[in-house]
Amino acid sequence: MELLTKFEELVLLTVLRLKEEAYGRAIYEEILKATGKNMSVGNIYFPLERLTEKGYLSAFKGEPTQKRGGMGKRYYRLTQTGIEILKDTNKVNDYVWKNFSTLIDSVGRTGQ
Amino acid sequence: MKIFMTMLDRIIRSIFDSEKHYGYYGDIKEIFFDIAEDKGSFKALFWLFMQIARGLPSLIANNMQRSKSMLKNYLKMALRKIHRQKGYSFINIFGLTIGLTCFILVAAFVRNELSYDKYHENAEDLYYISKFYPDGTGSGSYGITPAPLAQHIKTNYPEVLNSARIIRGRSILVKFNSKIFFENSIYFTDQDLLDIFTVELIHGNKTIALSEPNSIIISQKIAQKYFGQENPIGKNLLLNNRSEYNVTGVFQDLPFNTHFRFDMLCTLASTNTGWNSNSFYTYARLKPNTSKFEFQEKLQILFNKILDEENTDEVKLIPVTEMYLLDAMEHPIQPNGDPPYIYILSIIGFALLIIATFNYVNLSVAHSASRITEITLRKVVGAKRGQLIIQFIGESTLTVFIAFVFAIIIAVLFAPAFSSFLERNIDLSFLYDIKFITLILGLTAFTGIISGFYPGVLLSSIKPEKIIKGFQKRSSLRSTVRNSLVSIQFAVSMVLILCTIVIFQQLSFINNKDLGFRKNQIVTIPVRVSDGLNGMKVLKEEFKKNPSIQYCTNSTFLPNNIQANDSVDWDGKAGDTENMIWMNYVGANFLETYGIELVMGSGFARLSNNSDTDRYIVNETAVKDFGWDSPIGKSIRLGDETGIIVGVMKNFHSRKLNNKVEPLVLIFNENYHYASTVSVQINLDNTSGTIKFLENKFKEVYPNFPFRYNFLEDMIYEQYKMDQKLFYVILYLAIIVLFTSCLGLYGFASHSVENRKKEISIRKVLGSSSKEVLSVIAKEHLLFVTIAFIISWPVSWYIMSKWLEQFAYRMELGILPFLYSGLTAYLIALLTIGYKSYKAATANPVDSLRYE
Repeated sequence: MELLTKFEELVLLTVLRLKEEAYGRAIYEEILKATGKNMSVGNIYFPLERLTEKGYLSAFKGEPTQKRGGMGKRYYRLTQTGIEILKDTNKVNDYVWKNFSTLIDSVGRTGQ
Repeated sequence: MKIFMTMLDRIIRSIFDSEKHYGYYGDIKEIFFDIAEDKGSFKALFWLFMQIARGLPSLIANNMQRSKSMLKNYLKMALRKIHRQKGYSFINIFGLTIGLTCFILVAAFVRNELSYDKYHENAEDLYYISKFYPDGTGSGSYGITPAPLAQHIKTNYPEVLNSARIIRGRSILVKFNSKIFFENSIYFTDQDLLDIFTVELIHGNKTIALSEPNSIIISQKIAQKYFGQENPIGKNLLLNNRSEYNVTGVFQDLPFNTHFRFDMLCTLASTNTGWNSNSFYTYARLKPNTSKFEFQEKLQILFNKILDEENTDEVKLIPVTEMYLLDAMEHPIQPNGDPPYIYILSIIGFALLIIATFNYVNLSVAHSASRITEITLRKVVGAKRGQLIIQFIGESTLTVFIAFVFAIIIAVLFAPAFSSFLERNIDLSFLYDIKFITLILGLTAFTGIISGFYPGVLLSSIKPEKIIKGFQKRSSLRSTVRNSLVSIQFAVSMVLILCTIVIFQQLSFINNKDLGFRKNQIVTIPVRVSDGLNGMKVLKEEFKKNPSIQYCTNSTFLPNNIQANDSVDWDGKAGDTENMIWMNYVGANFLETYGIELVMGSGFARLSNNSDTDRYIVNETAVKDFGWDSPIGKSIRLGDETGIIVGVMKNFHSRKLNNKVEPLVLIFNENYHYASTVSVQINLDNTSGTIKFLENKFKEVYPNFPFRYNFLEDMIYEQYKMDQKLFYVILYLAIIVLFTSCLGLYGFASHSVENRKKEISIRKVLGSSSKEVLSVIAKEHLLFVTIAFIISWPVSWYIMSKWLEQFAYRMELGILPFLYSGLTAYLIALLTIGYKSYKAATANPVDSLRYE
């Protein structure tokens, strides 16, 4: 399976978390909350588009609102492939992050 | 604020594919307005700015990532395209390159001319103090100043930090041991001058080099000439066989861009000329930020006071950096540059650049119309619009860049030849200047973008289906725009051509105008002697014995370059203004030697030398000024002297032909110390034999002097040489302009006709004859060409009348040149368009309709 980049992982998980409200701005704010990084909105959109191209996400258009100057929101949704890749990534993560706390403590003490 | 957003809206929407980006854009707006509500518009704007700033790098990075492999592909395609369409590409690149090369060379030259005297330390504070003689039309000529001026202003005006005066030494004999030469570039000045002008001394101390009397500093070249490898410091040079000057310094050869070049500078001995005679060049260094006008006023007051009576002399302060290009100097310290020429050259240079770029854009635009099929196919295969835009812009930018590189290479190759032809040091180092490189890159990008814009943006918006179906949209707006572009281009080139023809005519007019005196067959020999002129009398007698020699005479100045003038007064002179008259001291037979006709009186013939009164021959202009019908026998006052008029001579040109003939007087004085240039009129058979004879006789009379001679023709040629050369440069440039425009016209015609092939074929199929089709096509094009033609006439007329105003002798601006050039250009246009139209019209309609 393809490994996701960390950022891609972040984005996909955020989309998952936001369920129905996964559009650009919301994702941007979630990532800001999660990482503390104030990315530019553009920086979010490129990965989003790439992920869409790769087939992990699908996009659909929302209703235009006044606030957005007449443009609709672009919502993102996990595709089946996306779900699969997240599951796989989770498995990988479980494996490599197993016993993290214990391991990190012992390194701290012996400095190894 | 709202307006700004809406504008931004429209711009962004038109550039980007709205499909994908609406989300992005909408989000931005959402957040923006939320922040604006919450924290105010400034914070919002700040956020927006940060967004853009942060987003830009990843925007580029992302696009590049995606298109890195595309880039290589693009490059390959661009080069292949150039290769495939060699004809078109060649014409386009070639035209652009030529235009650019010429522009670079002209720019270098003009830059050169404008850079004179900027290298002096404190150059902005250096001024030349000039007498000014208004000629009643608002302008006037600039002259030189009296001896005491420099010292006086230094002592009495605090804003004058330093001042100095310079006087030229005319043709001085310089001797060291066995080396004897006549030197023409010796000047006498004060020590203060070294403080004002920047002169680098290799040997010697700049602060005292000229403080002792009889000191001299020499250039490296001169040091080499007289002293070879020895150190010249402390040695003595003998000037004119009577004065010894001690060499106190050697200076580095001066840079080319100074209006005052000298080989040697000597300490000026004290003079006793007063405020009434003007023979010095006075320069001053003022305190920084001194007001030029205020000080000029003070100087004017000073002159008014000192010269009391009715001083009509004006004084002007001229920045040294403007001296080289100062027009209308009566006695320029050295030949000046030629502002009108420089002006014309820069205009032509720019015009060339604009035409070349114009051509290129035009041609690409026309050419791209024929690439519609290619574009459509690409779209079908999946190219996104943005990609197409980038592709086209990239291609054209690449081509322009190639042209630029070629242009620079060719310019560098040609620079030495160009330099030596114009006898200037054309410095191309500005090519490395950051500002220039930025300019070039900017221009490249600009041209590239413009020429890629049309095909990229406009054509790529065409829906593929329409094209494949064969529907070709002929928007009349588009072709009007295109046609008018060609019109403009044609009009500009026409104007340039017309102007060149007029310039050519004016210059030939001047060249062929009879100078009024014989210039061929004259040999001139300088005889600088200090023993009274007995030797010269003997010499002339000896010369005359040779049958090949018809006449010989002596004078201070040669007729083509009379440099001295003085004030003239006569009974019945009206008004208080001071009148000046040019003057030349001459010996016997001056008029005969030079073939100048005597229209009244008996001249200097049969005059003895024993008279106390000076005898004068004046020219026709002088007599007109005097207002006398019979001037013979009348007396006039020349400065402090008085004399009788014994003859009136026909006008001749004693200064460069730009000026009208001004009043001139010949003063007869066989023994006048300075009338020491001998002119000999010889038969031209056996010239070398005659010269040898002259040399031998000369050596008999003056064994210790070098024999130097010149042909007057050559000297006059030298005088007008620069004009001629600049003229040729302009001529070639104009030819290139013509050529470039024809090239553009040809290319344009080809494409525009190509694009109408279908239309033509259909017309033919429907029954029009080739002739009818031809006329339809050609007519439309020719209409625009004619419009251009008509526009260009009055424009050139106006420009040329203005230009000709500066010449006292000017040709009439006739219809003829306009007719000739206009017809020629028109003919060329006809031929070009005609040929292409003909080929298209007579082509087999089947060929182009086949793919329907």
